[in-house]
Amino acid sequence: MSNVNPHPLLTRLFYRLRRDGFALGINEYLAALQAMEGGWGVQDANALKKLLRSLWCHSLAQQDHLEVIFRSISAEESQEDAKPREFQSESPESSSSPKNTPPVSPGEQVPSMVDSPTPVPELSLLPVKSSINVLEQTEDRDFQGYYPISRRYLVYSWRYLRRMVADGREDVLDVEGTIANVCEQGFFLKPKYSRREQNHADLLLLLDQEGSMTPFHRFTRDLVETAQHDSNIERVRVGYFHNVPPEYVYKDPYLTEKVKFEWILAESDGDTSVLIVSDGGAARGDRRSERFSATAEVLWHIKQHTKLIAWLNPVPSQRWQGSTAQFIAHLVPMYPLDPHGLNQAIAQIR
Amino acid sequence: MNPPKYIFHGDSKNRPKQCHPDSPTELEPYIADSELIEAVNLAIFLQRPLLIEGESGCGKTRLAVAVAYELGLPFYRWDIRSTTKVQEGLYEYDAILRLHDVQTKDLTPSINPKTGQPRNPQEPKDYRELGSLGKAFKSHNYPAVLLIDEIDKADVDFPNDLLSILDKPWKFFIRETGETIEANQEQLPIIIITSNKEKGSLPSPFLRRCLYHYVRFPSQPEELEKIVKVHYQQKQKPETMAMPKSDLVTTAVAKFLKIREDKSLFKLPGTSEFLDWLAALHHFKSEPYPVTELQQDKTIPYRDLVFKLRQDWQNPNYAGS
Repeated sequence: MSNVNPHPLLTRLFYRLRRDGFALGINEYLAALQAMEGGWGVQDANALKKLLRSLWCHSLAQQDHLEVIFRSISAEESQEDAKPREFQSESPESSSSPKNTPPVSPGEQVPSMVDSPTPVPELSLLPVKSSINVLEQTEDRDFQGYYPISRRYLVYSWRYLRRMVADGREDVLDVEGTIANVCEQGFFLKPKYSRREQNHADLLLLLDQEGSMTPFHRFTRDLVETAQHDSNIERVRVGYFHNVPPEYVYKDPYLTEKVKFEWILAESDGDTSVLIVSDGGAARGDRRSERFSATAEVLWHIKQHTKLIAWLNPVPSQRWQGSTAQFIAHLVPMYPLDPHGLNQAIAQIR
Repeated sequence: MNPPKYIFHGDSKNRPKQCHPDSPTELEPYIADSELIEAVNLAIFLQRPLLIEGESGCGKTRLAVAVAYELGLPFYRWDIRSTTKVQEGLYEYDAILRLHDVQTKDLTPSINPKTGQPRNPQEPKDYRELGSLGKAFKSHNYPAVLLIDEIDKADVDFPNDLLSILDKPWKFFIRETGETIEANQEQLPIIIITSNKEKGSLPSPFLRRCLYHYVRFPSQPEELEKIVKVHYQQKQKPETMAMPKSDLVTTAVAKFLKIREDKSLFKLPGTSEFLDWLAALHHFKSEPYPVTELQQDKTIPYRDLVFKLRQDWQNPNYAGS
């Protein structure tokens, strides 16, 4: 290994890791070069690996990933002349860590995937790239998430849902007001305080549970938790339902505690933001007029109370075509469940 | 390129004779493995923050103190709370105190604790207090060691705001006094950031700037024994803190590592728990806990020190009879 010239290897690793979703920029590349000039990582390939592990990896998962990449690249390097690019052609589409990524589609819907061509036998063993990427691979093994949107991104996004009113505790020091008072009175009596601003946003989350939504339960739970605990939205109400919110919705995700949907709506007004999370039948891909008309009726009821309504669909938008979801999307703004879709949905219900 | 001036060896004997007055004065018993030492030196060389992660109780915080102690550099610590803003780390300005002092100038002027003199309302600098980050920037002759502890506790915006400070041009402006605090480009602070990963993850632009090291629990009995040895050797008071007998240490280490192997535990005890537990075994009663009993016993003595969650504490494998 000692005759390895580290620079081409570094460049190669850089591109390879970038492709695998590492957050690396030119600065990181330059930093590595600078460290190599300073004498780090130039002795042999192992030293280079150690350097890059500190510099470019930001979690144990990434460190393990580097280990794998490093081994495969070193192997490629040594047999470069004999069989170039063998590893590349083997799995061009597989995502960064295929063995960690569970297939997202629920088992029951597999037969209805219409547009997948019959796979060539040897390809069928390869892991299928899921529609949900492992986003930021920055998490600890204990805190791993497979969500389309990271928790952090959710917390960020909820911030845009706000209606600020200065009616909180009177504890914000108003320096300018204090000085104005002093000028007026000619002496300093006491500091002037103003009221703290509070977010008066009112959010009603309607979550489809069970059935085809089962794979997304972890994610919808995060959505609820971040809205309730990590955002400053004043009131967050959650209603769970199965397929279509009928007369009753449930207060808990296990669908046991019934509440009349009318009552929930009665507490809502034009400032209530309604966010529905459901696949709208797109997961199974079927088109059922009962489901559509029932959903349309519920949406009509909600629209009697508020115009701030949006729909998040965890199924990729290509698959809405031909399913009930395609038609529902004509009635209510529907967005795919990805960071961009979430932002659009929140902008819609602001 | 010049060779790096400050090299951390993980050995407190390298502390220079002449130290900065803000350098930690108490000896810091700390054992760093070679990879961690290399990461620290790389961070010093590249002038990038070093992000330390790992289980709680593995000595993430102690590392910064050990680095500052060994290199004899000033040490500033910034504990992050959920409401911390980056501004607080730079400086705080007490406008109301100044206003108060103007009004009460002839009666009871407030005392500046730094100079012991009354504050002068005509001097705006008397009313600004530099935060840890500000002090680290101001340390011009020596690079300061800055510990930003538990960054993940802060608000979501915090890491990004911090990023704009921990980058060129390494200066900030104090509006109230008109000062510009600029760090010496040759002596940029050595920044060590710790994270517990309690909530979510840090933003990727922030991570990109940092070097990363994960502190693992010492899994070999020899490593743990070495930590015990260093810990007791460097304690100041030998009469109350005598080194436990080696057979007690060996048995305790073996027992402790056995506990950590248990996959059913919810929270694994860390190094600091082990040191507490060992101290209790040795000192709590007038006689140290009998080694033979510790070897045989199914139960864990003083398990209150080892298990910190109800589920673990009630774990039938360890609960006393």
